[in-house]
Amino acid sequence: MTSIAQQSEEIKEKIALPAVKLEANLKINALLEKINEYQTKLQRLQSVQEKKRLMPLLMGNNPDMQFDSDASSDFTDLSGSSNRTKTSKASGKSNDSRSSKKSKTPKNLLKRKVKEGSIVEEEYLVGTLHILKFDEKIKRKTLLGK
Amino acid sequence: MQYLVYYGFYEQVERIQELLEKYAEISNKKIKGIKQIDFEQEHPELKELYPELEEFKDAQPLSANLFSKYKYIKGTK
Repeated sequence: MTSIAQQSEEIKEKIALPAVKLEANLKINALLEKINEYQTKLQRLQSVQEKKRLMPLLMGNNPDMQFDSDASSDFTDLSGSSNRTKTSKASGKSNDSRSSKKSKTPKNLLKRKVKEGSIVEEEYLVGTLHILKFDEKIKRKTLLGK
Repeated sequence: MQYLVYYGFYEQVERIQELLEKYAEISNKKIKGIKQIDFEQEHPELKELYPELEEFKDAQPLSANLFSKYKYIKGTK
């Protein structure tokens, strides 16, 4: 009996205790990482918002910045027609059906890689910070590992 | 967490709890886009009109029992 008790004590000291301690340290590091990530993203959001305030053109609601109809027609002519003919020759299918499919399924902004200084960076940061927000789910995951 | 309490790693438990509380405090502030902020500044009366609307709230109150589970640990030391 004593040998079994000794063995279990050994297992506890040599395996269980270091493993539990390691797990605790890993959880602490993960939490620190999350806090740092949240803080850096929050700081970035603040600087992006300041920048947007300084440059109202980035807000997208400037009345002076109206789309020139001639320029837009040139733009569509250049991009649309030449590309259409090339692709239709290559594949033999029309591009109209493809474009309608694309417009139906807008890409999720949070799944994209958004570069610093991008126009959609603010929306991306707001969405990411909402996801990173502390809630019951994170608490359960940290405390119980579920 | 239960294992930590069981094996007496109180320091780690308190550190985890501290960090969780810090995380909750930091992330409790409502994140708003610049358009939302400007809209709220332009129409302050809407806040009074719709006080329960989530969009107008600056922070969400933390649930009372968010950290209650392991509070007893501090008393054991």
